[in-house]
Amino acid sequence: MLPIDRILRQTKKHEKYNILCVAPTHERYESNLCATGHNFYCLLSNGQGLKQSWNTKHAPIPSNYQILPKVEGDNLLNKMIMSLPSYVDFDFVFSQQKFGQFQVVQQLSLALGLPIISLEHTTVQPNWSVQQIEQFKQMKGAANVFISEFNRDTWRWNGEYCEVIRHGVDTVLFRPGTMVRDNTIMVCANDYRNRDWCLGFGLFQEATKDLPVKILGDTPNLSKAPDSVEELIHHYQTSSIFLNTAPHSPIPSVLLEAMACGCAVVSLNACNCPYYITHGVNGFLANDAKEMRIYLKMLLEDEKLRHKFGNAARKTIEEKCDMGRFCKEWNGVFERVSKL
Amino acid sequence: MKVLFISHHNEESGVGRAAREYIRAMDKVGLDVVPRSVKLGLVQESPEDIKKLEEKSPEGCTHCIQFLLPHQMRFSGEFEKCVAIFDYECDNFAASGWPYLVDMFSEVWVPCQDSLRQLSQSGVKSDKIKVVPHAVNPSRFKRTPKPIITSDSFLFYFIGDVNNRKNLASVIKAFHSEFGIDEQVGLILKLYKHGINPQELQKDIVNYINQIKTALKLYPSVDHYKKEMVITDFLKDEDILNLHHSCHCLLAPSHGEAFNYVVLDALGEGRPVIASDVGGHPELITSGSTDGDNGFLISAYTESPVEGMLETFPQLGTGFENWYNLDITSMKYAMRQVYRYWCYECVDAGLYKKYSENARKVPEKFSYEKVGNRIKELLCSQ
Repeated sequence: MLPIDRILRQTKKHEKYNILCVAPTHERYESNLCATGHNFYCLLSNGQGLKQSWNTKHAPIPSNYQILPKVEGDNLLNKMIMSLPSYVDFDFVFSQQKFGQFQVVQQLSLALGLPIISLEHTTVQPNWSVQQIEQFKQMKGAANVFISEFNRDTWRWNGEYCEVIRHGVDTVLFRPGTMVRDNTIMVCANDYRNRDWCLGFGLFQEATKDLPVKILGDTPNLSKAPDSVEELIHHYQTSSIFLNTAPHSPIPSVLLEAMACGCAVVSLNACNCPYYITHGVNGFLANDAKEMRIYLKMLLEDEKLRHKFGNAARKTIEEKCDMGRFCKEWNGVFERVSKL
Repeated sequence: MKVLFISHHNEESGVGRAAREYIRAMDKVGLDVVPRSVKLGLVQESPEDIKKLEEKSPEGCTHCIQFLLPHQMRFSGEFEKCVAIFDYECDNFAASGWPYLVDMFSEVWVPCQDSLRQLSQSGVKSDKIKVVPHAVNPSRFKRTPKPIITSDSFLFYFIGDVNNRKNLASVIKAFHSEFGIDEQVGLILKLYKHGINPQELQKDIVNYINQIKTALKLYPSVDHYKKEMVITDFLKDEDILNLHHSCHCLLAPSHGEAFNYVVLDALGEGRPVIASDVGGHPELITSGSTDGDNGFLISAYTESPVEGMLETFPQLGTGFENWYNLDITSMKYAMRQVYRYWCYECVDAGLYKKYSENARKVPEKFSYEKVGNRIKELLCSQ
């Protein structure tokens, strides 16, 4: 593929863009991205820091998401370029992480003459200095998308071509069920113990001591992840309360999914959660483990309150996480970058 | 008609400048031109006027012009016309494999008649090759010049990249073997080479010149020769024009050229040019006419295999191509003539002044309107 191929492609109105990714990242987020209708091609490799497979337990592979044959060994960049299908004229390269992915994406961008779309899911780590953050800001693309104002602001990003696209949730897939809900507290997190600093495992232990809990997610000696999205949805639908303890996750998608499935939610009052949860209206926001425990016990004892919160939470997701809005905003980004 | 113009117009080079001037020429005559850049080497930001045109969407373009290295071109049958522009400096490029790429296009545009011949010799069908000279804005020369060198001497000068093709050696040899150390003449060399810092280049050039001087054996030591002024620092465009203005006669003895903006700029500043009879030079320089002379074209009919072009692509500038060697004796004669005209201004009926006035008229032939209309005519033709 020559740089001129992309220029020639721009002369025709295309309904679908061809987007090159360098590793699966957040499978359910990427499934939502695929709802935009464009073609996604994912390079798999054994590159450092790059996820090496799509986890079908998190979501099935969408029909417009093609996983290319894995490349390994030395000269990874050259091998990646050689493995690209010659019949595809790519429009962009897509980075979903500033660490691990962006560096590879940048090299591909230079080699193929393609603009970069950079998406960031995370906040900055608490121990980073201002100078470090300023350095990381040099990792910028033609479009720089953040999942919330909160994580954009932690990255101190106020540059050009920066936008916030809030999560979309497929409310047809994630919806309340008809079964009776267990009066139990559900949490869902992978590697919960080891990632205590960002997921709040300690908070969970303190807040839920002796309370009925259902723990999901791949955490050694603690819990297993559901085998499929359908199984996960079943757990949301049959749990009355969902608990989010993460102090450093801008907005956990499992929290939004639980709300879409009509769970009553208790969340740490952190990051972007207050945008989705109005305290006392569609859930509870707690400042520490002690408050969390109070609210959890309140909900466990009050079925009416659980129903009220569950219905309100569902409505919030329908309003704020509309997939139509999500796709429209992403299409706007793709169209703007395609003209560069 | 909407024209997609794809080029290396962000390059800091003659090719980059040619592309930018083509864009301006097309815009000047009302063509709806959408420029798009393919980056190559030393890249600069687009000037404001071209940036504005770059904001246009390429959607719906009916015609496509590609002014790129052929291995970066891509013919597309989606356009009413898909044109390649190609500049080359040697007698053919058949061994490179590029003629086949270029031949796919509806038309191939070249900057001068010599290039038309080169492409035909290389295997491109002659009926699709058209001459479209490079463009220039004549008003660029209508400004108050600021001399950057002051001297009582007559100054010959050379501006160019340091490579074998530009034939700097002929300049050194001709100057020193023609003019004595007591004559009121000087030699200015404005040189550049990509990837080498000015101080290092200065040292390399002085060594190179001293080697030539040693080999000429005109004087007991190199210190006895006249000293050239060697400028290797970066000069802005306006300062380059001021340099032309500060000197008296440009020397351009290249083995091969496509068009040569340095010659055009010298003429625009009213400076006679002594150049090899290659490439675009015959279309810029009038020599041997009754009244319209603006310089000297030195015959360069002897061909020899290209050599020493190690910085280019491996398949280009090889010994399979030929370039032209100018007759240094004729060059020396021309230098002496121009110097005489300047020295004896009143005796030789003001010939230097006449050459200078004739030189100033040349840019008008390559104005944005003239070149733009030529492009329009070709795009509209069947």
